[in-house]
Amino acid sequence: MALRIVIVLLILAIPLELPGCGPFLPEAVFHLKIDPEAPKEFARGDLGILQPTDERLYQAIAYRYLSGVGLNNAEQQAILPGPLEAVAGSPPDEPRNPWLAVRNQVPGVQPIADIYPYREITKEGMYGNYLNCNDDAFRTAATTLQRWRGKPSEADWIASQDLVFADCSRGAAIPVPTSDAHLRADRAYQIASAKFYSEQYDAARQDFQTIAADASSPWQNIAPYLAARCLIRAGKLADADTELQHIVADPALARFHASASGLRGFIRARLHPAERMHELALALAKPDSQATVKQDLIDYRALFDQNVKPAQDDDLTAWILSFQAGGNGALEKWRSTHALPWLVGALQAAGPKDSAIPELLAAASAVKPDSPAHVTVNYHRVRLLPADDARTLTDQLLKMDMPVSARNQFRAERLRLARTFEEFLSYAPRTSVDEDAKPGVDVLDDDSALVLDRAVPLALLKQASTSALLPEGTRKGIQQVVSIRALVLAPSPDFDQVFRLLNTPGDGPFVRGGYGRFTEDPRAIDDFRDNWWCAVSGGNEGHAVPIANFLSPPDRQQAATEWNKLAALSAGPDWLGTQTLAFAEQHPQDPRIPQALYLVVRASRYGCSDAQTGDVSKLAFDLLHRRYPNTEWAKKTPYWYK
Amino acid sequence: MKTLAVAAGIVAIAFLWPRPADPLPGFPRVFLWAWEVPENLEFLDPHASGVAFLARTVCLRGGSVSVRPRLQPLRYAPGTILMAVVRVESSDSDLPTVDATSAAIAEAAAIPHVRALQVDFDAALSQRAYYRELLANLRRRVPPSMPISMTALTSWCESDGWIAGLPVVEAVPMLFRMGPGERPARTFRPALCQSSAGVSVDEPLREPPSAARLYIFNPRPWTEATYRAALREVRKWH
Repeated sequence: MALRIVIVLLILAIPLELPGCGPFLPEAVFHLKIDPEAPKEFARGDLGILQPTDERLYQAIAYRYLSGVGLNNAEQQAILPGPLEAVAGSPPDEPRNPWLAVRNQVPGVQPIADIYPYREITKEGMYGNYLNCNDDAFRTAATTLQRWRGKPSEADWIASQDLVFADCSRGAAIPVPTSDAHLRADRAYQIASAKFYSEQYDAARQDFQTIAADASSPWQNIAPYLAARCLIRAGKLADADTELQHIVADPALARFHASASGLRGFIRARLHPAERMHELALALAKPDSQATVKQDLIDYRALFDQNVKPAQDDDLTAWILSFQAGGNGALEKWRSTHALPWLVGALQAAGPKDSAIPELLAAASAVKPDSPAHVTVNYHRVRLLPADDARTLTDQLLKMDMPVSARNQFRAERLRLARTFEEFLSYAPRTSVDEDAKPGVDVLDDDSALVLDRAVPLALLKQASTSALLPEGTRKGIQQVVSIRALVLAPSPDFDQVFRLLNTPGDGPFVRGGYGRFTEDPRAIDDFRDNWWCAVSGGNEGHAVPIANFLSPPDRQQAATEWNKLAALSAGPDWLGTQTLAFAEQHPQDPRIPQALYLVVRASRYGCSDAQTGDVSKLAFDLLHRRYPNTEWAKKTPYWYK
Repeated sequence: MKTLAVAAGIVAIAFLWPRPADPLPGFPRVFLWAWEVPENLEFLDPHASGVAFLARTVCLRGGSVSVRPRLQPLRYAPGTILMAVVRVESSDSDLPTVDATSAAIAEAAAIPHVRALQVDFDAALSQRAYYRELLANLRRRVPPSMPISMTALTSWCESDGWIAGLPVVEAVPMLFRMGPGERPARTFRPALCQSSAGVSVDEPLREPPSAARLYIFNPRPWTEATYRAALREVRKWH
């Protein structure tokens, strides 16, 4: 029994989403793969391009729209704020405890900084925590305090309430009964609550039942509901379900019907998960579900995540499973039903050489612009149509309003179809949709960064570095790459520039997409070791060298020659060290040499390293201490690094 | 005969040479890291392995501390030696007082049956002074009988000298999830980094670590099969 209680408590305690905190390096994201960039718009039916990787919560909503059910205004209100925003991300700041906010303002009451709402489960062989006091409890206390403000018993009531909430995290402090007639009913409720929070569920239940029988208590109506919650926490789910059923059937307790029904769903999901999942799938496909849609979505998603198989087949679950599997079986289903959700699935599964393409494209072209599926089906049309048709269609679609994520994906398709370098450049910039995005500042996605990095000759890269088709920040980044690339590809690199590069750990010969380096100042060492560059063979391989179809054969050949040299380049610290050591041998009297050797050792410490880095570092260290032992640079270099 | 005498002398010296004392005497040589997933480790042999479980995450944000306790159940065989791991995460440069953070970490030392504390904080360069002060404060705060361990980025054990003298019994270099181009070392020079190492079941090492104590991470919940396989691998190394 104890184990059942513990399990139930743990289930109750685990929130759907755990809040996260740093450190997170900013990463440019151009289309979200799990949730839409604007959950509210999505809930209104602005679905963008549906992704098989989307949260099932969103796929359930998408199914409603694709199947013509949608969400009415009340349903949208019901789920926002709610599960959609919970999925979209945790709030930036934790909400203030509403109870403490009002309690600490009462004159003469010693302020409390915080109440820890979690309680530990500790017994030999088991450890965990659960959320013991939820937000509702603090809100109720805050509201009740208003009733006592300025009255003689105010301090007494607050002191007892403090005892109740002290039990949230540990202990079993129980307020003492009172002879004060005004306080009597509230004190009885406080005593029952304190027993509940201190895990004395049988005693708490008895107290709540007594309160339920007290017609003079302001807590009479809620008491049966709380008595049922005692049973749930005690792990007596079937008994709790029976009591909740009585509450739902009692018109006098109408205020608690929704909560009681929600708890019944919770219990049914645990006692009969397959049946509950089937019920939820059917309920979620029905219109006008504002009273239940929020909790149903949460429960359906939770059961789905536990791999519960519905007791009977249903179209919603079948569609989600198929869509997540890339549209598996969707074509057959669409052919038999001609239903829009299944057309979307079939299009997603289709490849350019499939025999079903003509019939799918014909059906897709008939989807009207006001359909919630319009953006998705047209994305697949672009993917599946011949290049010329796809180009024309993309240009038309890009004139329409659509979510930024969708626009980025269409631009990516258009970039793939580029016929000239100018066309390529014009579709390269994208608007990132992550929280680090700077308004009005577009950056490169990996598709264009990779082509510029590996498939374009230096001459065209120079052209890109001054092209007005690219944002200013991108142009500057490419100018820096062009300069370093010219240096590292030169047969005998100029030491002036090598020395400058030793002082600019943010510079390198490779084009980067996204936000680039975390430390913006190229002269500063990055705390996360993003300094100079890694060798291509040492983890910088990324993807295969892409083919830039818009390039002439000679340009392609030139790019390949240059890339082969870059691919053979050693890691930044090694290359800089080798150049410096060679120059030092030839120009031992150059006054910059001691500092340069110090900088080489520093680069080996903070830069991207490989198997040779230690050797280079030691050579520079040895030379510095052997030839220039009395310089400040030798004193600043007590170690070499590998 | 002379050669034999020299060889015998070398062997004798090797045996008699003082070895570094185990900083966690009486603790098992293998610890399983149990992160924030439901973990049932009742199959664990308490004599062979201990459990270093994520007990809480201390978030430093906007100059204040918030605590997220472990919400996923951990089950273990009675008698298992437990180490409470406290993950410290900071999302901005506005750090709270050392006292506040230390107090939040120290509470994990009071979890019943916990025998040691491990702090897991990937402190940035600018946070190192804070971290040093934090550990000193924590050392004063928890009972002297409670050893404090810390995890360490391998760079802290390879080239940085900054961890020297920290008031912990060990710094566990994490030989996994390293950056591109980085290869884990087998041994480390700082004394704090020599006794233990952290490895992951999903990242085979080219060379076994020389550390006597291993902390093993598993990105998925532990099963008896993965535990046994990990133990077999460890026995090959030692």
